[in-house]
Amino acid sequence: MSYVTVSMGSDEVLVPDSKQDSAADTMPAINMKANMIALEGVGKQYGGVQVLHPIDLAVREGEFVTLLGPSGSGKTTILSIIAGAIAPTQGRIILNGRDVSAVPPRERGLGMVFQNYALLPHLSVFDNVAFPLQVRGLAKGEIASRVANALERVGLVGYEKRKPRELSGGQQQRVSIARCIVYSPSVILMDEPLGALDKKLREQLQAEIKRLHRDLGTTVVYVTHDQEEALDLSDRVCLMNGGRIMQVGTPNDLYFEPVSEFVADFLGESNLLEGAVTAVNTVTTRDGMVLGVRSTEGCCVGSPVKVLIRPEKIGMTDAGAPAIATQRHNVTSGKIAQASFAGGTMRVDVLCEKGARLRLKTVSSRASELVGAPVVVSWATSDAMVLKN
Amino acid sequence: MTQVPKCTHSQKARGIIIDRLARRYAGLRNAMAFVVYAFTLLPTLIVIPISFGGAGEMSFPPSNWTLELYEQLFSSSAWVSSILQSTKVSCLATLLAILIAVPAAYGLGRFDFPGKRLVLFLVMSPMVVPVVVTSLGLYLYFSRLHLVGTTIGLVLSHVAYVTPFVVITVMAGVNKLDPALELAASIMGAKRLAVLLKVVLPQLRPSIIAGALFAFLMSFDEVVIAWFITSPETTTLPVKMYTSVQWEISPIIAAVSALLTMLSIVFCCLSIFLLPGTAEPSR
Repeated sequence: MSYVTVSMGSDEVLVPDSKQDSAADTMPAINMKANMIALEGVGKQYGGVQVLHPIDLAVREGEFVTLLGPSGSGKTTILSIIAGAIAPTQGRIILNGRDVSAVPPRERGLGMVFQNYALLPHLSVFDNVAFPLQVRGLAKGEIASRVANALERVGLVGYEKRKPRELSGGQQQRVSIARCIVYSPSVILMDEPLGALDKKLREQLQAEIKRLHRDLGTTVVYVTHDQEEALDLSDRVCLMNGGRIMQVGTPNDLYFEPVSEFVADFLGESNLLEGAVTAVNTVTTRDGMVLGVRSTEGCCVGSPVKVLIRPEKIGMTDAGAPAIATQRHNVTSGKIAQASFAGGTMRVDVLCEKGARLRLKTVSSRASELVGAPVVVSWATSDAMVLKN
Repeated sequence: MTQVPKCTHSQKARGIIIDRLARRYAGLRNAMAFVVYAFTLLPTLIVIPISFGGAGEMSFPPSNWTLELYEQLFSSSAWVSSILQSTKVSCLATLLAILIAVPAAYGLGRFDFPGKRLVLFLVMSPMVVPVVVTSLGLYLYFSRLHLVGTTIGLVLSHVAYVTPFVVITVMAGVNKLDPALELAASIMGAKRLAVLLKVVLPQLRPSIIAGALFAFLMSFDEVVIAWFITSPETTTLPVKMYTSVQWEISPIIAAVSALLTMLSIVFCCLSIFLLPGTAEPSR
């Protein structure tokens, strides 16, 4: 909390500095590290269209934050605003405690990795990685050793003399990452860096990015539309849609405690049952199923809600088998409507007796996995989340 | 799995018929193309054998093959000085045009600013106005400034004449540049000048060279403006050729024409050789 001193006659009174606190209030106090980036009411309009509604977002030092969302959700706009490539229509950008809203990109001390690599085609790998050091006027020997170190980190020793076009996409992106880490910027921005690569390379580079972040401890802001990438890499994910932040939180928060149907639907698969609160921690669905849910806190009896159950949290047993139901469990019987086999796991759609259709994921087995087979499905009360409408 | 749209039967059949027709008449097509090229090129190329005829002879085919016309050309001080004058004017005009056109093309191709269309129109306007009109205007204007008959006057006129063409060539190169490269460079801390020198210009090199070759040829060939602006002391090669055709009809003109034609061919080949470089994608 910071204060400004206001003099009133002879007395000096400490008044909270409201400007600075407004950003601090919006972020959860998980740890005490300083904010590396703080966006305060930053928004962007293009010709009267609000592509980014005013948002507040803080990224702590050393944190890996992913901006996740469908295309057109405003995630790249935020990244471009942080980079200084576009100016926000409103709001302030604080980088490392300094208001950089009016500072050009070259003075912000950032690094950026682009989807299409953005390597200089006329320069060799060495010269590309040396570029940021040369513009800083470093000595030749220093440049050579730092470039060698950066290339070693990304596994490209021996490629110094190649031109970018002689490298594969994955190698080019490694050069681009080396070019970024070589001058140790305080923040690295990554704009869908794996978007142009095929699946296998993507997974490989994803692991490398994760390792580099762990080793270097640099603050990273990462943009992607790939939820698995986001969940795997990030300390926190900022899920966006339609130019608004839908939810900010750890991957666990977003997956297990989504605040809205959009978040629940965007991350992973979900079963959503419409209904209304009928008692404390009890929801009755439209078709009359009475479900025990984790918490109905903040809902009045009668208020319409949706109940979220993740497919992998639903258990299934043959109808004849002894039920494993306990008091904590929601149990209903039904028939298998559809089953699709995907190797180790399978996806089963069960039509419940009351008419609801539930999708569940289960370990594959041969037993009675026939469409039409009667089964009993159950899930723990704690796995049924209430989403307010 | 993506579905490949299937050709319908009739589409396939039509394609086969067109292929067959194309194959049957391929000979005819080639012959037509040959006739058209011959019709346009022959009058130009015919001066080359003529230029190897004997002194005082201008006939095709030459009765005996010598280099006498070239000897006469290079021993005549009037012809040599006009060749040197043309070279000087073209080099200076090209240099100035590049210095003006490259920043203009980058600015116009890369950035949006108020009045951009007006600036673009002004830069391009020498292409729209008939050359004779431009020449007359320049003549009247330069006579006030006492620039008529001077090399500087001619260089300035040629700069105005060739700059739009260089701007167009370089702008095509600018449009192919990936703006992310410039953004990347400035995020890495490069100042504007460094971005221009280390990122933009190296990538534009092929289109700048092509533009320069083009500018040089245009200036070297230019006769109308030069006719108005030059004096006997500053006569360029095309003006000298034009006057010699009018007054003396010396067979030396064949040797000069042959040289000019070869210069054009060499320059065109050079720029064709260079242009694939600009077409290459930047990644």
